[in-house]
Amino acid sequence: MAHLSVNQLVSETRKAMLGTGYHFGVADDIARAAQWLSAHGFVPSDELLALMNADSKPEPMRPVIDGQHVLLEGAVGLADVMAGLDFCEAFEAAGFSLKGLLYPNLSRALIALRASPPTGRFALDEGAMLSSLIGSAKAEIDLVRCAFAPDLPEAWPARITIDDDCYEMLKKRAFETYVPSSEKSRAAGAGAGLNDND
Amino acid sequence: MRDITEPQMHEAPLCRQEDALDLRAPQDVMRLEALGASFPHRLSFKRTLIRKLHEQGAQLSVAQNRLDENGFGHIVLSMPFCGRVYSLIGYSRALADEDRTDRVIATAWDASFCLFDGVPNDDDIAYLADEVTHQEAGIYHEKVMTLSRANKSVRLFQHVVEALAQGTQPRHEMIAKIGYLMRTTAVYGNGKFGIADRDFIKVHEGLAGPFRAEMLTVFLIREFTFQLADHCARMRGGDEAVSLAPLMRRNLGVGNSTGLGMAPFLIHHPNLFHSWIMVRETALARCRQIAALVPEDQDRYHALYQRITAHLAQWQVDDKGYQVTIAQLRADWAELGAKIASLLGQDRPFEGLMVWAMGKGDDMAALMASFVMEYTGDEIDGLEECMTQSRDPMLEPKMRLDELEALIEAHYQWALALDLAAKPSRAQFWYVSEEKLEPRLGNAYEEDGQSREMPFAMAYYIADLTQAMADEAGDMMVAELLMKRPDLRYIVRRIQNVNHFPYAEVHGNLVGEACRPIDLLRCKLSFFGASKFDPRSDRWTRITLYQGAPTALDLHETGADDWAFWVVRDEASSDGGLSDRG
Repeated sequence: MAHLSVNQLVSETRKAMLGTGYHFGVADDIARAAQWLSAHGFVPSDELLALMNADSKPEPMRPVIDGQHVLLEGAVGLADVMAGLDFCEAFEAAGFSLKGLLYPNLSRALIALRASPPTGRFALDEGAMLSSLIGSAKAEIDLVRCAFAPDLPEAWPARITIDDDCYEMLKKRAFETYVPSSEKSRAAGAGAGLNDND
Repeated sequence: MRDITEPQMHEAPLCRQEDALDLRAPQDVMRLEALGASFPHRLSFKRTLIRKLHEQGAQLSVAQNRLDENGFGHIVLSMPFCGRVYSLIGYSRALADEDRTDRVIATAWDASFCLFDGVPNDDDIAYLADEVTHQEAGIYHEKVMTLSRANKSVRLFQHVVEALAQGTQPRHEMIAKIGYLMRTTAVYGNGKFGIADRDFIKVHEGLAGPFRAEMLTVFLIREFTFQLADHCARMRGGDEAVSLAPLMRRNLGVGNSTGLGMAPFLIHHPNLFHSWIMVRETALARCRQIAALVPEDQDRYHALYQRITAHLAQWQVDDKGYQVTIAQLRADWAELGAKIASLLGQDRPFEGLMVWAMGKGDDMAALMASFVMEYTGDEIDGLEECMTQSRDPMLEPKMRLDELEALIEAHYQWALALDLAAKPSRAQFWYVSEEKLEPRLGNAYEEDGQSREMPFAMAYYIADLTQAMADEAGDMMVAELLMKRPDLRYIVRRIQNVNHFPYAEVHGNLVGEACRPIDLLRCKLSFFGASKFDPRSDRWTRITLYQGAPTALDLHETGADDWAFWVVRDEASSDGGLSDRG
């Protein structure tokens, strides 16, 4: 197990998602989802690992709009959830159903983070906040629009714990976004070209 | 205080009902050249920290001094602040001259530091000795709030120690030339390498402000350098030795070598950047509305005018281009000399001065903005509470493409005016180097790695977006477009965001041949409160922090806040920042 700050996890996740092939805006959202979960004391190691081992899809699936309800069904990835949320806001959906979530916790985090006052945020159909499901592997979820309410942790965790395999993979994928050093670039950095014994 | 940086504040009266503030436009102040002319000001982070330390009656104590006869070992400096105690643990080590480098890629330093939450016990100090001296390679826990390291200015440190050992004070001319005993090469915060997260720290009273823990660290590093110099002098001179005099301490700040690493922060945190600029512009606009100055304030500003004249004379750099800029600034400032007294006595004096300064160009406008804000605490103090903006940019999926296009027209004229096919427009790329993960800037036509660049080519992303929109109906919603083109999510969100946070974006091409990263560095450093910018290339600069600031010895004296545009000198004089009316 590795013990990290939350910022370490967020930073590595963002870069790892870019290294996996996600675009900047999507990678940003996934990193924020990981942050939201870890702030609640849960690090989605298994889901992150699976995400990094899966191919990123070029286009999300088209959400189904049924009256005031948006539906996603099938093998629902994170880009699909983002598109579903976009449609929910665009069409002012009162409900949002997702079936076949590949990454249930990260998906719920993405939904919880999408607060858009005054239209409100999504909650479970019995009115509970999404944070009540953290850690659950449940791949289906029915949501209803509720009045705006924060779904944030009461206290920020001092430290989080992540599986070694996941952390190593995050670092490996993140490394794929770095550029090998060259003499030319090294010569232009801060402190370069000076005798620093002055 | 209501947060003036929140988006709804642009649609409603700002902060106070009587304000009808005429803020300078983003198109003017967010240009790279304007950002690169910034000066520290009354609301800069080190200024607000000093006022808070003063208000809190914070007293420094040397909790441990375990330096050997050569000045190697550790010192622990502790300071109660807002109900808690914070300690700087400073480790001093021998360093061969050939290993002394300011580069991020260095692996050893003259001194290494951490800011510790509480007072460390011997086990803490022993554990952290192995970690902190290895900086990025160390393993940390949440009690460690910041991490830093510094190298000596060998010339000045030796001179100061020799002088003190012989019972004399160092020559102030040499202090004026260098300005610090040590310069830091990095100050890390916000969870880096496993230290405490900012979200964890910011709930500590007094540390909510941006970079507050880092600013406290540097303040304490400055005290560490005094302790170290005094100790080395005592070891060398014995009973002959004297301590560094209070005024000499005031003359000394902490140096810093700052490179490209600072710049991406401003792009990655657009709303935080907006809040800093918004606060500064609001403060300036309030000052410009001041109807008249009472005679006593006119006198203070007149004294400040003279102090700035002397400060500019002491600002010497090797960079020829920068020296030309400074020389022009001095000349323009001198031009004001004959009329400053009458201008200060006119109605709306600061409005007149700002109009004159803006006519002179970016550098004079920035200097004048700092000048007019200096003694207006009643008008602007407290605005710094609005400088912490944690809202992330949010997508608006319901927006129609027609509206999005209108936003591009309104906020990105600089991008639309670029010739994107021209090689100079895409000459550079920002990336993270494998080597210690240092941000760097590459030549797009000579170096590999552009495919891994950081997302700073805004004009090109806008062109991609515009092309994608051209194939769609104007009443299509953003949600539909992004389902087809998820790669546009990033730029769409930025464009929508700037509609609410107008100072969030730099109005300039960050990947163009003409982009000088030093402009971004200087802007950010000015908010820290840095002065004496000394660029060593267009990619990195040396600066000084806290030069002239009260030290632990005089933090609680009357007038402790009156130290802007400090002039290094060897005895107190009326124009040097030690006035008793601060």
